[in-house]
Amino acid sequence: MKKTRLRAGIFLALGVALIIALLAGIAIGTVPIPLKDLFSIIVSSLWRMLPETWQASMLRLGLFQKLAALMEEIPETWQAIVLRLRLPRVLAAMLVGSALGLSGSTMQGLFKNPLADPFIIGVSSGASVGAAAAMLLGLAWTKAGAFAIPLAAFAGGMGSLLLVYSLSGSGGRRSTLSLLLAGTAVSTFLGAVVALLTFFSGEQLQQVVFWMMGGFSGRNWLHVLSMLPWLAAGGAVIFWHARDLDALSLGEEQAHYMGVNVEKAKGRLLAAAALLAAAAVSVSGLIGFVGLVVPHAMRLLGGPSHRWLLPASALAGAVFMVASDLLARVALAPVELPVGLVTALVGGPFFLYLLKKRKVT
Amino acid sequence: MAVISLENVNFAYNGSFCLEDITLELEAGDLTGIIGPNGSGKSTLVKLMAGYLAPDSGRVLLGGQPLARLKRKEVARTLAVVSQGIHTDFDFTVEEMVSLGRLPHMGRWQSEGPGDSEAIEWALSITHLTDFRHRAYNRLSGGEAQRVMVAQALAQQPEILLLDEPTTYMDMAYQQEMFTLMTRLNQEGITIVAVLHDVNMAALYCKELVAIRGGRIFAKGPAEAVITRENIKEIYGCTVEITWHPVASRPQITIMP
Amino acid sequence: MRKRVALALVFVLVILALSGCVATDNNGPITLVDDFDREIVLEEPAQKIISLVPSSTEILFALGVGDRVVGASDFCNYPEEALSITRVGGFDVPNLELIVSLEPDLVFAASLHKDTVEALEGMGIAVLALDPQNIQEIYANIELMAQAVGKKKAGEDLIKDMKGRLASVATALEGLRDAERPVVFYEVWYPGIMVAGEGTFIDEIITLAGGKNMAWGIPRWGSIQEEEILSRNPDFIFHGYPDTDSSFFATREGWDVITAVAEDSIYFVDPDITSRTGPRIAEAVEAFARILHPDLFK
Repeated sequence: MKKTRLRAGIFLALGVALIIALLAGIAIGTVPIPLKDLFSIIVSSLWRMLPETWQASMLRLGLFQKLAALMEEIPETWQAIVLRLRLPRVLAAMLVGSALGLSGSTMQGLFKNPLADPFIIGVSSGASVGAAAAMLLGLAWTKAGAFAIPLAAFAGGMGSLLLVYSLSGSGGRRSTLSLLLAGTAVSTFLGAVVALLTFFSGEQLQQVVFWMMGGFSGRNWLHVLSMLPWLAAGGAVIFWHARDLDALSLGEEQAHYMGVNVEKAKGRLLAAAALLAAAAVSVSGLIGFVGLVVPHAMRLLGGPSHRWLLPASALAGAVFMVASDLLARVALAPVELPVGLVTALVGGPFFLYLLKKRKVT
Repeated sequence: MAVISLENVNFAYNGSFCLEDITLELEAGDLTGIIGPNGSGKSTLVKLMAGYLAPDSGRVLLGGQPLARLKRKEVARTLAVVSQGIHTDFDFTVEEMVSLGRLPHMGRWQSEGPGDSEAIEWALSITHLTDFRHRAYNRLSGGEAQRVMVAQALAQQPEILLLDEPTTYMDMAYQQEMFTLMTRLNQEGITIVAVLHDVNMAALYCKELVAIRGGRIFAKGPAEAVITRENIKEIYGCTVEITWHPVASRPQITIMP
Repeated sequence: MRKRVALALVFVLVILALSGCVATDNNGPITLVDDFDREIVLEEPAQKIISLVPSSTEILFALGVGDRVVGASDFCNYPEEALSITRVGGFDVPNLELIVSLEPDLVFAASLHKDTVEALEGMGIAVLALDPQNIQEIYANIELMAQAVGKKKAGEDLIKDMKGRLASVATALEGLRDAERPVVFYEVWYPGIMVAGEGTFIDEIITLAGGKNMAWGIPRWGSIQEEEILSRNPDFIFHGYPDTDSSFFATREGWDVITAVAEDSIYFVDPDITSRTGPRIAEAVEAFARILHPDLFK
């Protein structure tokens, strides 16, 4: 039972890391804000959420007067930066990271392939087609742009799932191999469509390219909220089938003998993982490596059992993404790097290190 | 009463017949060996019995009920299958592999209870894997890995155990160990059906043999009835002499040069 | 005081540099040196000209030789007469065959046309590649082009007109204290907000128009983070998006704390005017100055 304790330790460490990353993500930015003011901004925003009667009685007790006075002195700009720019983007990074971690570990289990990632069946290409098409239609410049593009990307991602699913077979059975092949074909084809759209994008070129590199700048509370239901629904389906994923990683036939309704489980897991990937892409644009490296690292640390691997990947994905976003913001401030660039720069070598370590042991 | 019965089962892969008109009843407590040349349909027969493949016509019954109508989990609590060469790219430990066998017994959110641990420990010890429990499944030898898959099937606590060529590629000691294990499990009340390559081993350990040729049942019965010079000539096309095992008094074949 | 001396020195140097370019007058071969120190010799003022750059086209029309332009880039849309000129392709990849078939005796190109310039040179077609970095260099370009087409006087008049317009803006702004210069944010791209940093024409236009470019510390064209924009708190926002209104900025999360958004000081400026290194730069400065300091330009 050494492993149980190891896994509990990793969870604890990841939890602490997430809290630190979130706090750092809120505290650090190109605009320096003193910790003291940061603290009062956060406490007072929590304070404002309390019912007025509570506030009144707490003030009567002599608590928080000092805080209220402090709040007056803090520039409105700082409050907006902390509560309306940094907080939502940090939370969006957290949700996108956990969605990609979950989706990646699910795809890897489903396809019995440790090199699979959330975008293996072409969700990213589909989402790119959606987003690029929306940009070409000029939607980015309109008021609705902030939501039209995520919606188009999400629709594109789910469209590619349907395309892959219908191409990979008919009726009941679809082998993972044919799903994989259909996924690769659809992915390549849609990639060509994106290239074509990019070619004709002219003035929108920069936008399309920027979106494809992924990032969290300008993400607001609505993005955070829009991510939640998908994460909850996709996550619930995947956790429900966690043991089935263990069985499926031994092959479909073996999973069948172990009592798994293979077609049902596979269909649901694929849909849920693609949903998470599409939701993540629609909020952040394309961010690679998280969904590949994170499940891989967690598997090396605590083993491949999905009842541990799935939540661990969700947590580690969140930590990785929040940290990468922070790095993207501060590394070359005031210029902001695309997060996808940071995850690839950090994740690529780390992945090689993991592979090397794996060979040695 | 028959635990598994096949009634006039036909099955074809892409239109070419693989199994034709198979009718077979397996009784509780049987230890049945299925023999036959390569490509005769032995493995397909196991996949049909386990419900992985569905017959084109005819029915497969498990405990008197049509297999197709039973829930997968229910079936897996009664019937376990040991396939050949299960490979995974993930580093499961032996213990994790074996505990996966508890899947049909556990609720979605449930973690392992005392009953589960007991079954896992039993499966590990009966397959002599207790000391291997923390080893990585991926790095075991073929014989050891096969034992892990047997242990996984046993962790399902099945009434019926189907084995698809469990001793292929194994050295003599492993083969003997595997057959001893099958005999022991059979004595504990598990009905066993094994597809076997080695006719002598099958004749030595199985209570009942089913010989398949060209997708049809050619002969069926105790070893002395199935293993005859004429039958072997018909089934495998080999000229052999039949000798008698000196201790077990079972027929054994000797290939003529 | 020292600043003025330095400026004067720069001016003298520019004049000296220009006089170096102009080796002879109109009645003989004309030797010209472009912004990449390439020397070409024209036997007589160019009569069939191709312009691969919208700003060159504008300058040629301003010099009164628009009728000599036989080919122009797809983006040459000003003045209106320029629209009827034969198109020779996009900005960075002009159609070489078409250019050759038009038999020009001079082609105006820009720094990004390196390959085209080399190809045309190889075929014996005279090319002048221009790469102005500031308004002084635009004057130098105008002078060079005027030489090339034999319109020295028209060039001098054009420069004089531009200088006059800029001088009257400078006069109106005289005595402006640093604190009275509003912070101006010129958004080039969104999303992935790109600004015109130090050393860009827009930076120069903003400064000449009595503003302070919000993109200080950012060299050339660069991106900037939203929290930095909130913190630098621009008083004015300029953008080149034709089909948007202020709500494009106002709906961005947290931007309502920015003075420009709160006071709705958000203006569309035609990017063709602010980004082209032609005569209309002076117009841009006037337009910016009128927006930034309405009371000084009544």
